[in-house]
Amino acid sequence: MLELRGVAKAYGRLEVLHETSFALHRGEICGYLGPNGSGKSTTVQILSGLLQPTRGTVLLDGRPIGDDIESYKRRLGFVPEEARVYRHLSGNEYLELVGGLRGIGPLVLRPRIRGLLEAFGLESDADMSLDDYSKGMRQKILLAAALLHDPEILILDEPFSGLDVATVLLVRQLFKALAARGRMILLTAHELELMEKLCERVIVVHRGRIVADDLVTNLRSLLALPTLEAIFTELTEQRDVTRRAAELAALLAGAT
Amino acid sequence: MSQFRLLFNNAWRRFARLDGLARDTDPRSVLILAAIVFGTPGIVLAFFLAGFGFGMIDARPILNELAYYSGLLVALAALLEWDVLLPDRADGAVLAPLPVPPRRLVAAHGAALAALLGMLTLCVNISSMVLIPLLDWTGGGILLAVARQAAAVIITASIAFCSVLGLRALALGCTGVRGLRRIGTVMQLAGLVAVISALLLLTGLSEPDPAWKSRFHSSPLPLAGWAGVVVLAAICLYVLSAYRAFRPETHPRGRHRGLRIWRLRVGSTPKAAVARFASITLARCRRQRMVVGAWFALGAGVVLASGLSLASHRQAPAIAEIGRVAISVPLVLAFFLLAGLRNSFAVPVELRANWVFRLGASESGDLAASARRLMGEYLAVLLLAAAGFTFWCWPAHVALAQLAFLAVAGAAWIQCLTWNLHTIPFTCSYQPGGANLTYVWPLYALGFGVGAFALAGWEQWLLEDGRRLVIALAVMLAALVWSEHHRRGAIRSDYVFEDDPEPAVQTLLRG
Repeated sequence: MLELRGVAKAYGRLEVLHETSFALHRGEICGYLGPNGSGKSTTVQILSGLLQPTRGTVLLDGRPIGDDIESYKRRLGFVPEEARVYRHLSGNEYLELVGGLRGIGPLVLRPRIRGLLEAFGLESDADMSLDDYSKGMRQKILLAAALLHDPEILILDEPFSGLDVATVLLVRQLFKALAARGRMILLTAHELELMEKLCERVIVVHRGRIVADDLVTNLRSLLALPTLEAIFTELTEQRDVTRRAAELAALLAGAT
Repeated sequence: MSQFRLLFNNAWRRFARLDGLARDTDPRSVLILAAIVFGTPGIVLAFFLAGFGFGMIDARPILNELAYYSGLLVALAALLEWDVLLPDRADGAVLAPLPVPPRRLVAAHGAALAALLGMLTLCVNISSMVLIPLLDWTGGGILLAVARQAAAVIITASIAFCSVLGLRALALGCTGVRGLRRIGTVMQLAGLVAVISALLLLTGLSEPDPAWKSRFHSSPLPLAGWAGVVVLAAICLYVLSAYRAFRPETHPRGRHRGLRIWRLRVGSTPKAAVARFASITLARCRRQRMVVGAWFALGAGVVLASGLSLASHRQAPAIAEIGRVAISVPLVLAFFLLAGLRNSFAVPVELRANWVFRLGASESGDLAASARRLMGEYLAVLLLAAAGFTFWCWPAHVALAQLAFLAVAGAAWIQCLTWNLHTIPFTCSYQPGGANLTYVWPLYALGFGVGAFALAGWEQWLLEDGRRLVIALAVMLAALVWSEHHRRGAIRSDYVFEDDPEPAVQTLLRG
């Protein structure tokens, strides 16, 4: 079990993530939702060990991850929010670099890279510079890099960003298959319909605080709302969207 | 604000992001740093002149050196900032949908580049400009003396810039856009060396009063006319070539083909992965290659200068002196090449992508070994090239002794340069010499040059007696082994990484 216990993050005097606690269980796909700037990426980076919390701890099976951070990182697959890759490398070279850094032997690494590239439809572009890849292609490479060592924990920050429909469907099924094998998956996304189909449980964060943490079905019945979109809108105070859109349209009409 | 002004400011801000100099600072701070870095030699020379007493020495050779240095700087800046001279793919993406005439865009970029090069030239020469009336006042008006030196500097800088422009134009015309990119590094390096050579020949550093400058002082028009012709010819050549093969995009879409030496690196350990990454990065990334190229060209310039000073002697130089200069050639080049490589390791390739190392590699022992290995490989290539030269100049046993000395001296130099290296190459802007390196680098460059020549003198003394050489090599090797043993004992697992915070966090931190 991966657990955040009283984790907070502050930059100077400004706290962007308040006391946050939740647990991620084996075989679970958990959605972490929130509007822009709500603290999702901060949480994800703390969970991945890239960012140190100001307060609180992250525990894996009851032990702080800081006790053996290397072992934790070995068990972790991570996709960052933006496709941050070394663009002068080709897709193949980037995956070889990641595989090498994770200490995967060439006999295992090469067929695995080939398989992942084929699955994501990148085999013909494998030797092309990542600078020439589209946003979606780079995202596929990041997903492949995160899956390369068959990690126990997957932390994914907007993994579907820029992906085509076929790949989204593939990745969705893959996550379900991985969860069925006992992998822990936490992902953030803005595609609420997709998250509703993929995640049994969602955590909604707003202005650095968790405002809901439950199964989607429970949230629906609890709030008497039909969809995750409606629940999200209610919890994150995104009210009067229609009125605000009308005001904006009027403003633009005035500008012309 | 007018559209031209906005475009000019946009280009200027891009020029001002000199990653090799400073990172994460605002453009104004970078420009101040640039002024300090590039202006330092000028200030040092001005103080040097002042120390000797005004009018006591002939200042003209030193003023010539300043003109040469500013020309070199302009050539280097033109090479480094070449891709922003014309609008690039980013400009296309952002500005194409907007109603901006392409002519205005190009004009704004050109003006910004001219302003940048002018600023660099001014930084180098400002201190000497102040002293000229006191040093080089030959009876005319003070303002005239300043104007003469200013004109000489501007002409030198123009020639340097146009040499780069002309060379690139020739290459573009002959090879097309893709060809130019493929041979880009070689051409740029060759261009820089050519510029240095041309400037050295023109300014004649060893001469107290070079012919071209005397002519300019007596009658500036012929030289100005000649420079004008060069400028016009270079621009015409470039425009014609660019018209034929104007680049449609910054990076041509294509596969990485050709010999991939890094493929020969075996193993899939983190160390091997990092070594492969370092090799690929140096082979493909322009900025890093240019740093190495600039250092190497500086070394080539030093070698050329010493050769020219020998050639310009009125009396035939002593054989021993020729020998010392010949021996110093591979040593000086090796020193500058290795220093350039070490310097390039501190130019990050993509800070925002460093997270991959932070997640995967921090446990793996001596990852900085990849830097040492890479430097060793480049030294080996230089040794191979030097072998031809030394076997041509000396008998086989002397040549072998020299190569052995070069190899050991190079290894010692690598050891010194990477002693405290706790970063993976190209992932961090940490420089040896600490935070003040920006301010003291001219002293480093001077130290390398003097050190290499001193080493050459010592080597010549050792070569006179085989026993001396054997003992010296044995001592150096023993010191290397001892130092390596101590270095390995001090290897840390906590590597220094740099990462850009999230954009939102950057905003918060600024607030």
